[in-house]
Amino acid sequence: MLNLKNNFNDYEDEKTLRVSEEEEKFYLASQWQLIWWKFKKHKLAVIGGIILLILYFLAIFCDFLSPYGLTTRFEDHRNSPPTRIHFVDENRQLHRPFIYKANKKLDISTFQYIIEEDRSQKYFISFFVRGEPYKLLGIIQTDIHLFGTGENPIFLFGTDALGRDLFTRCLYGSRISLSIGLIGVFLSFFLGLIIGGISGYYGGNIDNFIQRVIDFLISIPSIPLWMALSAALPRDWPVVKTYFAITLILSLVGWCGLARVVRGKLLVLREEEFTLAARLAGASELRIIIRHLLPSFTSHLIVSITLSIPNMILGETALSFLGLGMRPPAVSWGVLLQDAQKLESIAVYPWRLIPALFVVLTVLAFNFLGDGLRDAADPYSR
Amino acid sequence: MRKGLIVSLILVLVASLILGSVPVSFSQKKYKEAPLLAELVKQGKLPPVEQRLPEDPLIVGPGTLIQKKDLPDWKVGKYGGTLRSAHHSPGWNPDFYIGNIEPLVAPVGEGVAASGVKGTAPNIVDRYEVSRDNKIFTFHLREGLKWSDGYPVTTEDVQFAYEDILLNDKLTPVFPVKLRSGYKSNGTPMRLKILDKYTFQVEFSEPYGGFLLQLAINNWGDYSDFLLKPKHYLKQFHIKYTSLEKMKPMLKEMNLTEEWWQLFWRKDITAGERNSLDAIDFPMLTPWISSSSSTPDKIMMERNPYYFKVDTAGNQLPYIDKLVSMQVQDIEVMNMKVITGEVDFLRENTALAKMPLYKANEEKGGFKVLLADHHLDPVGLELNFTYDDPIWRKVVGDVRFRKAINMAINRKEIIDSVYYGFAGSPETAAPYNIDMANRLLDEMGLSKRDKDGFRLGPDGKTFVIFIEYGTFVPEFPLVSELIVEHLKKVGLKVISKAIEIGLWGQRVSSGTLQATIMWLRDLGNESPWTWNPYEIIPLYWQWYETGGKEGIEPPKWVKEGFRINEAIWASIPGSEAYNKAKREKLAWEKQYLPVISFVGKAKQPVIFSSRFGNVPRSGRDIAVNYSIEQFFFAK
Amino acid sequence: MFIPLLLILSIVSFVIIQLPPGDMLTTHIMTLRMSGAQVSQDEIVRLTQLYGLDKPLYVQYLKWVGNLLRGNLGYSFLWGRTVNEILSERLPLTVFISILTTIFVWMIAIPIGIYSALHQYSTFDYIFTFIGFIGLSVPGFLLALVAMWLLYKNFNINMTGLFSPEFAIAPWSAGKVIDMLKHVWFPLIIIGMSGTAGLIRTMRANLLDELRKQYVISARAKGLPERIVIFKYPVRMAINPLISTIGWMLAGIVSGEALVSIVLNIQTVGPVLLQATLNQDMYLAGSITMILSSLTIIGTLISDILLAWLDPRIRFGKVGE
Repeated sequence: MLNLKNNFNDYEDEKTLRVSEEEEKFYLASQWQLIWWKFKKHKLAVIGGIILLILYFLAIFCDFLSPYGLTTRFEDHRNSPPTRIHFVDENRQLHRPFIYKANKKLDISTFQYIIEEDRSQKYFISFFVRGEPYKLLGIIQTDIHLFGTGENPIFLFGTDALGRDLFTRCLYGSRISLSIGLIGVFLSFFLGLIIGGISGYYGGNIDNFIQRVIDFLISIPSIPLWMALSAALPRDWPVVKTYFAITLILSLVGWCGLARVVRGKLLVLREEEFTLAARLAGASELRIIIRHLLPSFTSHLIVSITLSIPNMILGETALSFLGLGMRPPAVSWGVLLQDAQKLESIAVYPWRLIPALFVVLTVLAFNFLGDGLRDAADPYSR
Repeated sequence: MRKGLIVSLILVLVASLILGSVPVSFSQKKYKEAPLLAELVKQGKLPPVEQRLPEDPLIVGPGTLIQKKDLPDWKVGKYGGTLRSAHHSPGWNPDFYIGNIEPLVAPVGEGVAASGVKGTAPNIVDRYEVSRDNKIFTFHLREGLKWSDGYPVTTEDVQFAYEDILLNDKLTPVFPVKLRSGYKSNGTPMRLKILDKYTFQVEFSEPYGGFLLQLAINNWGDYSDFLLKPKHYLKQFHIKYTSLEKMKPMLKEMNLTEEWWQLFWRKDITAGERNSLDAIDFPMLTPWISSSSSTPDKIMMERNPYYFKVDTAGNQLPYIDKLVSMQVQDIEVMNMKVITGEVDFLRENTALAKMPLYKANEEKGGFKVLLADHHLDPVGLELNFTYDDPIWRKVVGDVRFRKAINMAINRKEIIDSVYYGFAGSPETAAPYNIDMANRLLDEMGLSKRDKDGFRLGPDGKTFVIFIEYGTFVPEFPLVSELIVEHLKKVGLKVISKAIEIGLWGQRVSSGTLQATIMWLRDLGNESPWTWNPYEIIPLYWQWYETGGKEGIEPPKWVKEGFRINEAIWASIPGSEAYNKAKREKLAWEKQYLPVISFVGKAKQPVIFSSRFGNVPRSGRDIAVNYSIEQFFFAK
Repeated sequence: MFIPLLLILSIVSFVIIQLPPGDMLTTHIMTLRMSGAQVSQDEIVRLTQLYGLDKPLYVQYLKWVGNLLRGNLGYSFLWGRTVNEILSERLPLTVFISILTTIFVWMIAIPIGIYSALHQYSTFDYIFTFIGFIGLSVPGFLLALVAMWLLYKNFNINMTGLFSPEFAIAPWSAGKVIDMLKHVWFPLIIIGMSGTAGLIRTMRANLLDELRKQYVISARAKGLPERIVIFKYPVRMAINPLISTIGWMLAGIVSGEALVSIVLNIQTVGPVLLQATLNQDMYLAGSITMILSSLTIIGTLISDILLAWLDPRIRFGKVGE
């Protein structure tokens, strides 16, 4: 924080205000640089940002990063726990990472699998191996995967009931979960901003009318709408396309939360003096709203949007819980969590809960990021 | 002399007075009852047990309700206790539903197995005869049988059910097919003849031996669906016996003005409605009856003091006093309550996938799990033969197509992945043979492929099997994903989607489903088709039902199916003709594959308290459920 | 003003609830189908008439509204009971738990929010923020199941419902109330977790906004003790917007949290509404929706009143008045 006291002392000296180099940089910095520096101060926010970058990277390159294809099944390895990666063998010698072959036996009395590692052969983890073909970024045909272990499969996150690698499915799932609701979120955001702005600024009958519309829209039961839409959309559309279409349609009624907040804020702000000043200076209503009022609560807007995205992700999982969201054969975190929401998953196959960690991580990251951005963009703070 | 005569007369008088007032327990007591009821008898609120039981109660012993091989150590039980269960749809506990079912005649065979039904035996009726031509059935009700409120059951109730309900246009707008001759939708309706207070005759114009099968098990109904209704109770809601004026207050409560038949329907409780609020005073013949302490979240049933079964020692059944079921909306939490030992019996909502959990917690939770035989084939593929697409109809109608699919399904993988090995191949399965399947499909004319390797239909476009299945059980999505891969190997493109069960039901009734995944060959539903013919042959079925006026004329093999079905229903279950028709049916199913069953002989976990006695150690899951009136708390 | 809105809402809700294909009867048939029981064709005809499903939509609607106005919320085919009965059984518990949860959340979130604002970027700020956000990020229904399992597996604590097995079956009594209080902490924490995080960050944000305002600097310059500088006005101003949200909570208090409550197996109104909507149980879903809508409208009104009362600067008239 800038130390005002020093400057006053200097002034007493009747010398020119001497400013330190650091302070000079501060004064000359642009708005964006200021925001960036403020942002860096919030450690958790920075970490959040980095995590999100990593997650989106994972999503974009999921087919390269995962060792197997989406539908590859390993019949001998159903319900397998994550493969143990070793660095030291029995002779206590250090090696590059390797795995053993896992033999499974069903214990009839407990109905559980007993896993034994066959230590006779090591399978080293190689990088840039050949595997199932895919199209990198949708255009480049290739079959190189980041890592693999040859014929003995490696399951970083274990497998599901059909013997599919959970690590692969988590990565592919991130592709859908991190992106599918984005457009809907932005649509709702802009609608909420504009409508809430108009409502709060103009007040009176317009405000009344819009508020009643909001009350109305909030009260509409959304579940039957969702069910009706999934039945009404073309039957042969794939699951993901249907889901996307529904989120778009429903975002047309989902802007109410933000609208209310914006309206509340504007009702206060329009009585502020700077508003009066702007009006007296002859600014048009629209200019007042956009140029003067809205920036005053940018922090809230930022919070709102960085909260909407994780809400959308959580919303997807909630819909899956209800059975209304995406379903197999689509793969999203919500679909994977359907598997997790079972007693046997929690008690006997806990690795199935890993997609929940992805969700938590993503939501946390967005929240911290939002926090940091809010602090950074706040024009009043120093 | 005269004095001596008078003295002896007085002595005799006095003696007989004394002897007359001595309670019956002085002599050998024939029947015994639950202490709960004995208390009420002492208080004068109930007549003694001899008067409550029919003259000839049904005697339950080893082998009666459950075959001896499944329950070798049957015992006479002890009275008392409350059986706890859980349900997730409000007011509907499927295990209580099955447990309380009392058919007029009981199925005999593997306990409860329509495909292996070796015949029928008396249950509510004492004895019955069938005329040689399978058209006339004479039933004798148990004399002295009473409703749960003490009123006697007589043929007046049967007459009421027939004349005043079935023949009443308002109450029965559509005469039920199950009471039509030959079980045909255009068969002549049955005719009733009352012979005496306990004997009645049902007459059909065509052979309908399968009528016994209907009464015994078909669609898991019971007496309340057939000809036995408590007249003394229901007549207060019937216009013939009660004036509209008298019914006005009750009608008003239901927001009706004169639709007395709707009031009647509300008050007439069938097997599936025994837990609704309206069932509380309704007279029943079931082992337990609805209790007035039921609340919206809690189903309570208490023993029926007039239940007609006793064990070999003369104890009136059931042994257990009360049934209680709490509503638990989430099935995972319901299973958790099994783990914590709060559930004494659960059949329908258990899952094979949870076996490791059940096993690990048996001791701590005080329960045992039995892997019983499932009463149906849990999963299979149904193709709609009359789906509105000529190319589809042509391809699917060719039996080679279905045979190819039958050979292309890797049943072992399905059994191991989805059913944990606890299932086997169904009877109509063919050995796994990809090459043969490919060859059949090539032969059929589907040999050309598109750029992805999928076969083209006769129109030159990629042939797609579009499956829409209802989200009934968690196994369906897994199986659907597997068969997409399996059929890919023989070049068939499959798109499979899950839809809401309501939507699924609607698509079925409108005949617009192309293909679906469903459980098949439910033993409680004797039919060569699926449970509902509309799932696979909507237009053919229409043709059949309307005598050719609507729908499309089916090919020969479908007509053969109709004929076999008629033969089964015409004959008496367990008879030579019946067995012959059943063998024909199986052969026909194998040859023509109307549906393609993936898995058969599956196991269903049944949970029961470790304190129970008379629990079978093997057998069919439904049979176990049926027999809960002989469960008792041994400790 | 509100009557026409409620009227329109009733029509729209009615239509929307019926919109998905199939109806109450279809669901009923499918439920029975799952147990293998068949509903024959004649039964279907009978049930269609009994449920009034053969009448045109507007007739069904008018019947429903007519009854609503007389206080008769209708009959639920799913439950086989009147809606009034179902609600009167569930409402008290729902309101109780909702209010308890709200108090719990506020009592924890506000102090933490204040602390976080005052000690921005400190370690404790990070820790509290982190813990708070965990509650926000984990899907509640999964958390409930996992927590339930872990509690039982490791500590033998049975939280599969609000009551111990003996009391669950028994009618209400003093013992049952005490038993419930012994169990209620679990749903409180699980449901409250997500609300806590949101409130913490809102409180923190609001307070930070206030603390940067001119009057705070003036107060500090005047030499007032820090405690008074912060609590006398800024904290009050920061809490204001929260209080105005009380009105909007009205509907939520009556319905209670729905999804998580299903897993927690607590008998509140939320799960009932959810199940009714999914099953298209017309009167149950429709009547509860109408009640909640009315409460939302009343709630908004209350919120506006509170907003104006607490912050004298706000006027609701047109711009420039």
